[in-house]
Amino acid sequence: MLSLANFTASEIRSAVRLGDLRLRIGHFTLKISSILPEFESALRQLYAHYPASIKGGAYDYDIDISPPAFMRRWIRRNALFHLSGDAPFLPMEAGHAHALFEWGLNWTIGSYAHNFLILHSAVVELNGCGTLLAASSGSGKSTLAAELSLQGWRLLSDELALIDKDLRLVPCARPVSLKNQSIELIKTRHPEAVLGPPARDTHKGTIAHLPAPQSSVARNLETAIPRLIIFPKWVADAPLRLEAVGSGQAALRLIDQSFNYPILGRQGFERLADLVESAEAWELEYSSLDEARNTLEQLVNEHG
Amino acid sequence: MANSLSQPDRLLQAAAGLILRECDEGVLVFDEKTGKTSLLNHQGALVLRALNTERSVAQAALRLASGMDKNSDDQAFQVLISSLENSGLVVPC
Repeated sequence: MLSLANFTASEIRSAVRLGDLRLRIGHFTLKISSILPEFESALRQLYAHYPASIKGGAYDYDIDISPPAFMRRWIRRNALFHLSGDAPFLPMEAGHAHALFEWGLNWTIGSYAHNFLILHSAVVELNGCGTLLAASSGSGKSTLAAELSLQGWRLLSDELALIDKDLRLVPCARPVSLKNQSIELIKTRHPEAVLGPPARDTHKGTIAHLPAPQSSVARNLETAIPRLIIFPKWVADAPLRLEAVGSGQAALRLIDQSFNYPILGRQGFERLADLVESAEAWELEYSSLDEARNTLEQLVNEHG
Repeated sequence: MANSLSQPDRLLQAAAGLILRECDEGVLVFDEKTGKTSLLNHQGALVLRALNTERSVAQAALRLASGMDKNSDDQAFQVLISSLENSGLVVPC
């Protein structure tokens, strides 16, 4: 299958407008349509290396990012996320359309992909050691995932850990959502990194997306074995602290970060119990990304 | 021993539909009826397991396993049973 970058801007624009674009992100194939040029442009930049087709075909999810009802287009340029024709969210500014797409896709997978146990967690891998970075928003999870992905770790996901019935981490590498100060931090540390267009004044402040490394996208169908569960927390000026977390406490904390644990019932419990039994859990408090990365690489070497 | 045996002589059983999994701190318990997940320490886990057995065996197992032959332990036992009852993992019968 060709990647999105193999097509011209004109071909992609036409396919997106006609609803003929299919984008493969890991195990999911999306039908993506939109009439917003800024969204189509961001999509080309952030998903350049993903398998794509401009001739239609089967898909898992039908996503449309377009302005709402006719009259509102003239009042303010807005974008609305549609999944199979339904609009579960309020409209956002058209300039935020690509951020809306990412949030909407997270919601879609979290709401419908129940063949996986889904945890709110970044997932990275080094030397075969699948590592969950499980934390709520504001903990620095995405910044740490971005840093690791720019330092040779494989990125499996910035936001969702997908755990299949064989207890494998199923990749869904997508752009890493960086917020506010993290954007400048990553730009300063990695001047070579090219971020997508910033979405300013969203409900989370300014958002910019770091494309997933091409090497991670190329391995987006290759599962990983979970070996480490990290509960990261960035605290300004704090000395690095690494503390083991018991498997029972780890399970309870992961349940708090789960999208669909209550839906899966016994199956979810058993999968979660297997996960905490097979992977070591640690709490990592840090202020320095370098120290955090070194510590994680040491853990991989010792326990991976 | 005979006196201390009579005190926790409550008719209890483990709630139906509990799935137990060992963990570092004791046992993770999933209640299929409610979907609730609880974490019990090792002592709580012993009690819950004992209550799943035949009742006379359960009483003896509770005593032996938890070393409940002292009054102070007996009080701790009552607290433990109460907390299990409150969690819904153990029910009066």
